[in-house]
Amino acid sequence: MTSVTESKWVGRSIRRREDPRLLVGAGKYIADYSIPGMAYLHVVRSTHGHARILNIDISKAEDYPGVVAVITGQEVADAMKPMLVSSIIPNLGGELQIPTVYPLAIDKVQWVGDPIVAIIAESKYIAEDAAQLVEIEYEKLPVLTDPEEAMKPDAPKIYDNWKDNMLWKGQLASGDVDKAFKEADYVLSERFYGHRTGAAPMETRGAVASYDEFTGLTIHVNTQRPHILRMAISQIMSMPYDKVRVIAPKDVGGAFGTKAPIYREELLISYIAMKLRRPVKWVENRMESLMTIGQERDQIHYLELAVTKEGKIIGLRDRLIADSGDGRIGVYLGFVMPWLGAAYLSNAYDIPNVQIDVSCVVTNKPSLTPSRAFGEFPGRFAMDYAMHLVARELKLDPRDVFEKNIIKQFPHVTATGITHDSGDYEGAFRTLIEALDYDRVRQEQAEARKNGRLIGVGFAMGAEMSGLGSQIFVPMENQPGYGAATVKIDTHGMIQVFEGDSPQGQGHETTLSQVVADELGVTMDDIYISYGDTFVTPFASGTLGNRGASYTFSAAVLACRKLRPKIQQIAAHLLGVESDGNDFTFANKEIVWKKDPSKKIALRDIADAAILGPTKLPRGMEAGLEATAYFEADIAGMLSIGVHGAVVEVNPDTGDFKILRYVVVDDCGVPINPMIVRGQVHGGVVMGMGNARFEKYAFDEAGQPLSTTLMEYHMPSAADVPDIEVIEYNVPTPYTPLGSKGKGEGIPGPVPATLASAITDALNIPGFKILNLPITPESIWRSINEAKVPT
Amino acid sequence: MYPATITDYMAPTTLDECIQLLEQHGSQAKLIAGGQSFVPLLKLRMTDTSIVIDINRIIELQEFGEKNISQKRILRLGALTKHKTLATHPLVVSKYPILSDAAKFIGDVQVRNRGTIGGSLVHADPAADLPVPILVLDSTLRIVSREGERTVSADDFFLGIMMTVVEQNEILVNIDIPAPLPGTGAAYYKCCAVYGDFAIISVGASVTMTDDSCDSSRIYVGGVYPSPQRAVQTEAFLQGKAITDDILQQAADILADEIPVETDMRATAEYRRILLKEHGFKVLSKAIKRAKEDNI
Amino acid sequence: MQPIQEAQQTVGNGMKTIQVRVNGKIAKKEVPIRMLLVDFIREELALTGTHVGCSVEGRCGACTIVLNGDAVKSCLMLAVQADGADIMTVEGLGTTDKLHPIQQGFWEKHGLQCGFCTPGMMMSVYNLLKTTRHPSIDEIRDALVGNLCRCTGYEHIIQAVQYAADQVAAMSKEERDEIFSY
Repeated sequence: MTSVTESKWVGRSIRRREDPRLLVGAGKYIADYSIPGMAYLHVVRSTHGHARILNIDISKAEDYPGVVAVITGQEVADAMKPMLVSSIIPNLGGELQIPTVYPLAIDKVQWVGDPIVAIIAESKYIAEDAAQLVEIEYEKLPVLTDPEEAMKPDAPKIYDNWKDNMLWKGQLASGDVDKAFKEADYVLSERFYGHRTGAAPMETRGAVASYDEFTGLTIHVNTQRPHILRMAISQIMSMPYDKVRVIAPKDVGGAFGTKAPIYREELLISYIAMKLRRPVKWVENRMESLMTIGQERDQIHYLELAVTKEGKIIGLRDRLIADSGDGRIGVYLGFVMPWLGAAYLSNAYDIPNVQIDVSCVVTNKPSLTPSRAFGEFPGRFAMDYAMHLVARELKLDPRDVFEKNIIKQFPHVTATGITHDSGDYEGAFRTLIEALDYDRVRQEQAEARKNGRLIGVGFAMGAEMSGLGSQIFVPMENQPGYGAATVKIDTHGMIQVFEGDSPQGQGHETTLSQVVADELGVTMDDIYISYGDTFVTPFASGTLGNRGASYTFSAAVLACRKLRPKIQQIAAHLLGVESDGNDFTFANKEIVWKKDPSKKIALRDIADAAILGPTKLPRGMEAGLEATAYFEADIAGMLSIGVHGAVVEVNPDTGDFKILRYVVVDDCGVPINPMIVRGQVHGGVVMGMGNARFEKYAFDEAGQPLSTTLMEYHMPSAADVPDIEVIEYNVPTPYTPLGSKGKGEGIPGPVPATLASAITDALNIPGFKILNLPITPESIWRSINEAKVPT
Repeated sequence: MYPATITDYMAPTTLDECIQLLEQHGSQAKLIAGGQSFVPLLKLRMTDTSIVIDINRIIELQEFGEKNISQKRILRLGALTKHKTLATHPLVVSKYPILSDAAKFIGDVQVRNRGTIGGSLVHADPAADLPVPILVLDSTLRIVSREGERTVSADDFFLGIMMTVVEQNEILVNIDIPAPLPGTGAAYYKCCAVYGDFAIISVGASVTMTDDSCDSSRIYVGGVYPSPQRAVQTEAFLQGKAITDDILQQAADILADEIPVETDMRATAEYRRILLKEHGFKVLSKAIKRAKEDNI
Repeated sequence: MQPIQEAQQTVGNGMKTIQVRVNGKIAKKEVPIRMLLVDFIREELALTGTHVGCSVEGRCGACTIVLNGDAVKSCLMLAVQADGADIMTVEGLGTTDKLHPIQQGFWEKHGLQCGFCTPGMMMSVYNLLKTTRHPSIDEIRDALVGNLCRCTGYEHIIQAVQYAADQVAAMSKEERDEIFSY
């Protein structure tokens, strides 16, 4: 156990405190919750991509033994407001058409998987039996699966009351783009496509809801943002705030963005628990999950770069078309991801003149839902790979093109308004080049070529958001960006920390303890972390977007620092010395007077006085030892850089390729626990590889999903991925108290351009281009053939 | 996703008992062996099974080893032989390596620990691994019912996508594989998108060589519809030829041309032909290498 | 361990009585024939360390257990098929006081993040290390194909397995037999 007293905990690769329970099978995930009398919910879903519901016959299902209730759409709708209430709608300007949505479809279905009927039964087996007895009569409508088709003026409309199929349309622009393109020596113009893929955490969604008229609704749900969900349920269902309690389980089996939206099933199960006055449990099955959540990316970029002959990019123009699906999820509506992808499109590069026109189009697919590398994945592929294509066209070394364009001055505000706080992107890039042994790889490449082996080297960068300050977060998600934490010293001198966010595997119990242990001079074992319960924890926006080490942990630091003067005043009083409230050190669970270290007192004794023996306190001092802090950085946004490089070998006959090396140089400011940071990088890269190479949410022309089990949605296994080398290149940010920044969110982003550029380099075929994801052996083989045929 | 109600479950310990149960319960009853494909079907409710007969305890289905049958040496694989055994047993690895090649490609460790050869063959997924080597090795399958028993050659066993000659009242008991002739080598390879996935295409070949010349061969391609296809033209081309890389390349070209391939989610027909060319060559090379090693 | 008896009792109404030994304890229960083994373990025996991460296909491996000495997926079996079986789940691997070297390896090397795949993953590692003394990286990767992890990128899991393998290799035969008794 972590019982050794050390003065410094931050920065050490300490094994995690949450692990023992998880390793012996004692983790408590949502599927492990049960309440006496609990019934089970099963959702009957649309089998059509677009259809009118003519009739629903639930009579046989209702009569099936063991069925508690069968509920259809209108009944649920009558009990609540349309789900997309103002508090979960972004305010990003542009033109937004807001779809109307209730938990269950009423007269029309928009995608295969759209929920229609809720069956509640005594067991999950019985619920599925009854589901088979529901008869739904449909009238098929034209199905739209291609956003460019759906944008056409004569396209059938998905929402009857909309003027067209445009969910959101907007522009991000700054500088004189036309001038830049006029002055350019070279203009690169390509259409890039990043397919529909995403996160798919190992644990699907799930909830257990219960209700009684005195305590109201309690819903255990594996959400990333319990406080926002509580607010949404309260507003949508017009319930007093004190009658809605959302609790995220202690253990959540991964989320990666997929558990951040406000979903229809969450409102549905809340309604059912209220109606039936019975606890209800719902655990999404994998098929539902692959049909509903974690589908992200899906952007087309008509990207143009205006470049000087030296390789400096002076202008960027992009027409981004996103396939938003039905757009009916709370907070994101299927367009916030592409919007942020556009805002971050220029990545780590200093491009003064930018114009990006974004069209987010509804189709007959499920809404885009957030996934790690939120909105950025296709754009990173387009942008960084385009820079390699620029280098090839201009006969420059791509290394020089990257170096020429990398942001060098900080803070830097991009043309799309993104603030890069601090760092050394150039240094990180050069570190990667050294780690790859770039010049030597080039020599090896030449040697190998003589023996008929095609080896290539490629690289890409990713400046990922490390939390977002309120300046961006309020318009983007209608929520505060601050981090919130309460630090409370208990009667025994142990420290309880409450965070408003709620983790899903990131290791907050360990890293938050490391942070607080340093601030209060105690060991990690003296600290316990509470999260997830909205009746207990301070309001915060949730665990997402790398908020933890940037915002939430900084709030914990500030809360400790709020407590320190009071602790010192009590210490001085109990020790009978004079103090200005800042002349004690905190170490070894003791408060030591700097002027005379023999004068010291245990933190436990101070807690005892402050909580159990208030008569011992200085006259007039308030009892108790607790503080809540809200941290907001003194800058609009923080980012952290990751630079990826790969060496690959390609078989030109089949397009198959092997990754010989994969290296990441990574900056997270000050790493609180380097081992955990490395784990984030490994996992992010492999998710990126899965997304870039194997995973695809495919649909046929009727909108039928073709990837509804993990036999078709190919997440990589251990045998499908290479070793990943990670090199730390950390530059503390001046904008957080510890210099730390969150890490994990954006790591998949640079993977596709890294692989694509390495493959292109290996093949060395003029005109060979990878313009579409995923990068499969067949797609490479096709691109080789296309490049060989003169056009 | 959970199975529909199953009214009865039996676990007979003898073949007789089992075929009586099959007779008695008719089409309501289904056999379960490893269950690695059958349980998913139950969960999908794609089978109207109300009675499950678990055959895992039947001794007669558990034979494994070489024996002489009417003076011919054979490897007998009881229907319950697990993929794990095929992948790792020294007898298989050393003498029938095409079987271990193929078994190693099946799913993953857990599936190989539980799944059986009989189950896989009767399930007859066109993209499965074991049908190809069973065909390549010219195996004989013994099928038993209340009426008696019959033997079917592997070539006659598969009728279509997930269809075989095994009738509802019958059970596949074992598979007899003739011991390889001297100078014979066989190999198998599968192309798939990720490890453990079903085949985009798979190729299996057995080649009998005298010195550098090919006496005969059997070549099958899996991952095609409705069941693995035999490459008769390629076999004819190779017969009697002195084998060089150039000849093998030509053979691979013929192979890629003669096998009817289709486009599906995993790959286009065009690309399948490219893979056939590439891996046809490699599999033939490997089989011939093994054949030569056998000659030494 | 002594083999245990099968219950082999038909109750009727689609029910059956089965007897299994799970983590050394004998359990005799009446179960619906259609009940999946994983539901039996989780819901009837309240051993919730075994997880369910997929539904039909049995691809994810989170439900992996050791059944009669072999790692198998408990979502691809009916509970009735396990009648008379000896089963180990993650709860039988080690305790917080005495972690199994596999658990220790996952802890030391940060082989888990959300922990959802971990119990099943460790069952496959058990299957590997029971018979393989010094697995290569490729052998480890191959042994884990049946267990998907979305958090770690597998790098630290492989290090965890190597750590465990080293610990096991340094043990006496008796110690090894004791921790690989299933």
